[in-house]
Amino acid sequence: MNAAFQSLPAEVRNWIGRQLFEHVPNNIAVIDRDFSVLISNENFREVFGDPQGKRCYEVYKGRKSVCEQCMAALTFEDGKVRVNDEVGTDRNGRPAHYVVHIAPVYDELGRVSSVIEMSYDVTETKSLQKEYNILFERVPCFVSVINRDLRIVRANGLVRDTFGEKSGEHCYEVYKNRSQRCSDCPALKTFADGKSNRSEQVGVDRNGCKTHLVVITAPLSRSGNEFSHVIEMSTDVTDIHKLSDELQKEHEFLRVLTDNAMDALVAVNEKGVVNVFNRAAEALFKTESSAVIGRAMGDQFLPREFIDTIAKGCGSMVLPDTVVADTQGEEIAVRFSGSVLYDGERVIGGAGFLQDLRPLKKLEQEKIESERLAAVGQTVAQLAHGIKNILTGLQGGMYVVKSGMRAGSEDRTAKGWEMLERNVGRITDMVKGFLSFSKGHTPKVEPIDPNAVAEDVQKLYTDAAQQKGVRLRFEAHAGIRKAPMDREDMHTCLANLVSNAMDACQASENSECSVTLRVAEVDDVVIFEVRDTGCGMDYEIKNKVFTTFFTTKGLGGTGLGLMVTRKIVQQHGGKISVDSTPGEGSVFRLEFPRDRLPVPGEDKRDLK
Amino acid sequence: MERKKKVIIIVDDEPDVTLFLQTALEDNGYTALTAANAAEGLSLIRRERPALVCLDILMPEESGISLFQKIKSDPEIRDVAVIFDSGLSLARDFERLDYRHLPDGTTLPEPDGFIEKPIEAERFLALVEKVLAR
Repeated sequence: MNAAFQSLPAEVRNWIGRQLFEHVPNNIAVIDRDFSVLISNENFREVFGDPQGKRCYEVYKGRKSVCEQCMAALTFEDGKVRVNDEVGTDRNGRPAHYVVHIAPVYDELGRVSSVIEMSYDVTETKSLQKEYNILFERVPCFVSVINRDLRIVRANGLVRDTFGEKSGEHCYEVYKNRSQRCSDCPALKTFADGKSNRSEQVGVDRNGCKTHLVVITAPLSRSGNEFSHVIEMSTDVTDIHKLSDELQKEHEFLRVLTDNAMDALVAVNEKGVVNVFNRAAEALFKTESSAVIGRAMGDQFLPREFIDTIAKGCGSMVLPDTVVADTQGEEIAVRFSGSVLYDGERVIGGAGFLQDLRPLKKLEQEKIESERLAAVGQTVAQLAHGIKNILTGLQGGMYVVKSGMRAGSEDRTAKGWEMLERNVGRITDMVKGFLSFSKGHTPKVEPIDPNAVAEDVQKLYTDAAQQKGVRLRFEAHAGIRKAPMDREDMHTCLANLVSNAMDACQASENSECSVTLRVAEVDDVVIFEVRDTGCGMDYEIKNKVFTTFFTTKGLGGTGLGLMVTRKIVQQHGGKISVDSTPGEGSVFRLEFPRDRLPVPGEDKRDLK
Repeated sequence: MERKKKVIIIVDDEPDVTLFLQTALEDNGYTALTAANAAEGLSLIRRERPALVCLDILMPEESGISLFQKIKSDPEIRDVAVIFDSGLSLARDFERLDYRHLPDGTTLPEPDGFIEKPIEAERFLALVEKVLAR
């Protein structure tokens, strides 16, 4: 009791004592050695009712006898002050928690005549404590209390389950399986600045698995301003991390894919704002993606038709050969394919691939050019080859004439002269033939009956065949559909083949040869076939038959027949092939796939 | 006393060529025989055992290549010298033909000469002389 209070007048001190006794927010009772309540304050009576004439155990606990471990009894014995937790019942019979303070009251003789019991209700606090405990233990995150040594003073069930029963160890040992403090320790930061901090950490659980944590630390003040502990609460975000990692990977994969795609990729939202513009697109349109992404420039890069398609919200489209302009206004031929993008039913934009056709077109051009040059070279070589034979004849003629004149042989001179005449004639024929071959004629494609053309050719050669002793037969293909062809050209081809076949028969030792002209159709391919049982050809000749001016007919041929035939066949999109066995005969076959035949009325594909 | 003339056989389907070469050879002291196709040529070679055969390559029915293979595969006549005369170009066509490797694995010797048409008499006779001098 301090001096200022003692110095007050006695009546003032008494007044203060009474006021305190009555109005202090505690329950106060004075009990004598018989445990009877002598006096009590207002609070006491409010809680326990009027105790007049009752024993304390009746009042506090509704008992009939003294409590087994009565604190007051001990204080009567030794005069010591005691504090204890008690559980009692209030006057409504509800259990109540109290902190009880027991102090001795001495009489004039210095004996403890009575004790003063001051109690206050902590029922509320107790239940709060319980609630907090449940919260601490059961909250679905890791909670621990860490002291300034970074030792875990208390940890909740989830920490124990996940990281092991390690109270008293350093937090870095428990959470991260480390032997040293972490450089970015959130608890130390809170100890330093006294503030709540949020950070992300990677822990290692008791099974050695990585755990991604979001950590919140807060100062935990137990007394006064100084705080001695930090409470750390963390949430496991490993799954979210995994998901985000996967998303990141997926995103990266798509980015690499789009960036390295050969074709330009441009995607826009439903308002035409560009949101994808890959590297190929940058190169194609000669601009940076940063200059176009996020801007409503879709119509500058995507064909008008596709922009309309997005607006209408229907499906996808392919434009095999269209034109777009780059940012410098240069026109680019592209192959375009685009798809409208949906989120469920709703159109959210469109994506288009643009393949730059310029290299392809250039290549195509170069190919045509080189084929043309090769054809020119080949023609020159073939021409030279044809002339060689005639030149030999002319050289020979001159030599024989000279030889005859030298020897005075009229007969020999005449033979030489004949040779000269004959070869001059040959070269004349050849030049005529070559001119007509290179000049060609105006094609006239119309649907013709393949049977009819073949039959015409058979009729044309019937007499000649009879004279040569060759049997000429014709096999039609009943009901064959008409095919768009140049009638005259087809006639020329078949006539050439039949004429060759009859020559082959004549060259054969076999006196009973036949030639068969057959028309057929297999799998939409029109076939003309000329088969002979004549002399046949061996390998070297077979390889040469389609070359200009190649002839085995000596003086009789110009070597142009099969070459003209081949040219016509190719102009009709077909192919010519030969199968031959020396001594047994040959089969020449012309095959025309219907889908490659020329369109009636259109110019034939010219193979110049 | 007159030395026995060397026999040379010309196989060519073009009568102009055979007449030309025959005249040139006979004017220069050889005996020249002609055949218009390979089969005829082969029997003539077997009968006459010539010193040299001039062979056209492209002939109907059977080519000069085929005849060459028969000559070089026949022990009786394989030593007969052969020169090809052809409208084929030596570099462009002839050397690309894989004619010396037979299906049974044997490889035939090279022909003794090759003369490309058009034939000039002097060049032809010089080649014949060179081959026969071996």
